[in-house]
Amino acid sequence: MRRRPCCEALLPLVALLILSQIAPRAHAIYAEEAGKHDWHRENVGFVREAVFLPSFLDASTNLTTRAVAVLAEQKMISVLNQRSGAIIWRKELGGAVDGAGVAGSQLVTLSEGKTRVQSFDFRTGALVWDKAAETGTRSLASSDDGKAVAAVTDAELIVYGKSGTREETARLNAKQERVEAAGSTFDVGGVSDALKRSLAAELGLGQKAAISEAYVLGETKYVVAVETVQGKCTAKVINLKTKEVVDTEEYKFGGSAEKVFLTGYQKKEGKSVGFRILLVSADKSLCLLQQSEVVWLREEALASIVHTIVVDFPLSGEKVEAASGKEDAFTIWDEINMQVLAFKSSLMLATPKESLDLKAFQLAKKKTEPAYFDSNGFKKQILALTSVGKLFALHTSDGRVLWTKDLGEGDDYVDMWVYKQDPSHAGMQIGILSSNKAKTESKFLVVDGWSGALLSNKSIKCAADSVMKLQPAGSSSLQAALLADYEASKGHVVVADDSDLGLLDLRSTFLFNVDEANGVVSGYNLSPKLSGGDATLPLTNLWSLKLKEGQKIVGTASPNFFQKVYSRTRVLGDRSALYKYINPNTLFVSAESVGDKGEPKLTIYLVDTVTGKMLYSITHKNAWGPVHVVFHENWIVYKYWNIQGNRDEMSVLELYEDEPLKNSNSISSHLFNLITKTNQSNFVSSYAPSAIRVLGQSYVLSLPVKTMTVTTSSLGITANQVLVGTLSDQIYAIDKKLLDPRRPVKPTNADKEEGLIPYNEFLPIAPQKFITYTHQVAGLRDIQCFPTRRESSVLVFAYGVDMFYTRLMPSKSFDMLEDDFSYSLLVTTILGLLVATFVVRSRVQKDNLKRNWM
Amino acid sequence: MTAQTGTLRRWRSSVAGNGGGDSSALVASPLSPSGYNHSVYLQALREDADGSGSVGAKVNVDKDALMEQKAWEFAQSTVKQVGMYAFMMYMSGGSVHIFSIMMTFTGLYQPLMAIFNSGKAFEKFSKGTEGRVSTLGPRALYCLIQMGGLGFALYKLANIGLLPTHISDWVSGVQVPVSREYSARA
Repeated sequence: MRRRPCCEALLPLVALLILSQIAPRAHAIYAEEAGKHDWHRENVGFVREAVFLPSFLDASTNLTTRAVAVLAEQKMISVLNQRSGAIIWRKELGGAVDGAGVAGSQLVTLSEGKTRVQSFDFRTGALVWDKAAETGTRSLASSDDGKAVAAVTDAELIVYGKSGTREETARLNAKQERVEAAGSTFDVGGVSDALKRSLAAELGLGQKAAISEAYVLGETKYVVAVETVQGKCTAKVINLKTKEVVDTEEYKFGGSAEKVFLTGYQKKEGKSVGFRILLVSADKSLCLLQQSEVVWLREEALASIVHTIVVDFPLSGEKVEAASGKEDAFTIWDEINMQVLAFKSSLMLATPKESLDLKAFQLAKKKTEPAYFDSNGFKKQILALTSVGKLFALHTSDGRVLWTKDLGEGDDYVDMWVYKQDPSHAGMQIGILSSNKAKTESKFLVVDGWSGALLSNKSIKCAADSVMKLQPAGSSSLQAALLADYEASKGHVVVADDSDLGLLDLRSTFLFNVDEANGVVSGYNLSPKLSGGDATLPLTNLWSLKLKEGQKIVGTASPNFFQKVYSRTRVLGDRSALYKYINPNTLFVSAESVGDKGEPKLTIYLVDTVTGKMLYSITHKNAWGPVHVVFHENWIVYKYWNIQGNRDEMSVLELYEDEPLKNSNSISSHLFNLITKTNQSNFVSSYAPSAIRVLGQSYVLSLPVKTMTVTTSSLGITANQVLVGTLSDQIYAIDKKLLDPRRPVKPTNADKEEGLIPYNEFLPIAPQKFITYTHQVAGLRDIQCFPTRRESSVLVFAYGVDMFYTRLMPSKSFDMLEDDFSYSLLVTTILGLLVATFVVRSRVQKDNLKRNWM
Repeated sequence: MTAQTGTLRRWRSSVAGNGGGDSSALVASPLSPSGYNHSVYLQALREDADGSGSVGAKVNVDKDALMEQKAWEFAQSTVKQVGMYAFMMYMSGGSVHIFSIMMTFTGLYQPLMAIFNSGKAFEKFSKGTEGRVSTLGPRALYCLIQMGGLGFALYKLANIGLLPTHISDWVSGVQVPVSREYSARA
């Protein structure tokens, strides 16, 4: 009896919860949610060239801004604030930038293999003019007064006008260094290598010292020479005329300098000159040095991520904090203040300023988010390996760098994965495989996943062209790799320690190789016996599949072997079921070819990777690559170019078992099967294949696709979304529901009950489905999805030059309360009810007493 | 005679037989108590020929028949009740709503409970009759009618789609198989 009131009190709450789930909600995020669960980090790329710009008035802040334009290898041109290193504007050009100069308020660039000249207003980034470069253009030269830019060809100097016209042409002598044209003086020669060498010798600098181009102040020319010896960086500014060292500064800065740029300013009080040095280190970090101080530093190596993995934080934050340095935490007063503000805003009592304060506070709080184990799995550590060999650990809450580890540049980083994981979550070892440029030798490094400490380093005399990862083995789910050498028919097992070899499970292990150029797919068997101590295994070629002459493989995919599949069947509207064909050893191969009559076509093959059996094939006429594929569970979504329609098309294939017994609609036989367990094996084997039934449908996608991936949740219950990286560097989410081969043209009642959307050849494009909303992930290369411990949520990390991270809920938040759930309202209601209960009770008691006295 | 009188347990007096009655059976005796009707006594003697001592057997037989009739009537009356409920269930609709589900489950629960408790329900008809009144027939009818109600509720349940009569209701427990072979791209 005592439970009843409680239940009754909960009923409205439960009803409210149910209602909030049922009520339609926009799938996109609200404006105020932007930046709450996502972050976008902009990079400028590997800086090749820098041009210091004259100071200008920033229209948005109304402050005089000193800026520097940097040209990067990644086709990026950016203007940075010299004081803070913040990006003022950024543009991606059509090709790599070769040089730049300043003319008045214009920044003129030479790009696309020295064939195109563009001019931008450097204050806003607006394009002023754009034209083809003069033939034979070698470089651009700015005049000493910064009023004009000229193109330097072999024999001429062509001065550009304000609108890109040819203002004047001057003849150039071979050895001429300074040219007078259009009322200005142009420095053509620059600082020659011979001069740099002689300078270095004079100053007693090593080979690795970097020397800048000349900086002209008045009549004097200065250069800077930077050298790092034993973690100490020394910068010497030299007057070129007198060859004397004007200024020497030391910086506490580890990286060795690769490129250095010099600018200066006249100091206010006297005639002395101050210098600023922009330095690009070997690890591609960009920093500004001034008066023995590193003013700012940008980790530009992050523009070249090659591999990422996401790991949980350790149970206590100490280890990561020790590696990263503890952040200043908020004081208790700040916290209380924030709670008050949050309470006010939830009651809609906050002024606009207060809500802005709250937002700023919440953003600031993300920066001090602790680095320890999150039971929801939202806060994790992204390990990003960059092409320069620097390993970064990023915090998923705001993308800040927790720690870095230099693994040495010059090698190709082939793969990175979790090598060993302690079952009690006390240790995490990351395996990194690299290969030297000549591809003769590989290196296997094991680092600690939480501090970056190098645990072991092993050199292997085998190329790392073909790497496969073996099955996880042992209690620590040790995952070793195998380097396959097909010519010698040998596989080389890679483990950190030879004692780990005994743990490996090599039974029933197969590998396959796709030779794209020759159109051959071949499968190999791995012998389970290790021969001797050198950890090599013989490989046996089991099958080879040679495609028809002229077929070129343009896209392949196979599902993740360790993917979580929740349901064995797909239930249809008439309550019958289709059994999914769940064999992860399936390979999707797409090959483009030209038919007998010259018609282009794209052929799709599904191949079993254990037996080499061809499961299915289909041909798309007038279709051509490039093909982007995702293969998940029993379905494949791939995108190709339709030549005839001049458009991108997307097809979906779903694989089901075609066993008469399993697909019979008779309930009795089905029940009999279920009870007797006939046809119900807990294993699938490629050697006992079941017949396959493929359902397929094609759609038109009006988005140009660059890369594609699929969201994966921790148990596989949540619906999937296909994430499409577009050419405009945005990410678009397509529900799997839309990419369903069973979408009917005329839906029956059963179809409606199944929730099938009527077929339409065009996939709808809803602007709210761009998960990057207003952001553009410049130079987007790859999108990675990883599950959280909450079934509904998926984390997405996309990278290119920029990085973008967000949290997605493809089936909405069915296992937790909405972010905007009004806790304060709930608490207020409960408190109000409590107060009311006590008040009413005391009144009732009084009344009763009164009545008894009467 | 003494034995017979000794076994007589009840006396009956008939006012009607006081005046006229069976004159041939009338044995006039001055010793007879007032209102004594010898013919009644003789009839009682005849009736009690088996010596069981029960005199009101005929009356009892009439009462048993009445009870049995009552039991049949009771059994038949449930048709109305069950029919009413079935109608209510029908009116509650076939959609999956809390109301129709509650109605349907009550419709399932009630007949089941009625069938299980039918023994108790018919006890009152056979009570004290020492097995002479058999309620088996009415009880069977009662159960049949309740089963009809149950059947309707089940039909309703099936209409809502809560009866596991489809393959889809049985496949959720099927385990997702694991691959015996491991293959990877190298």
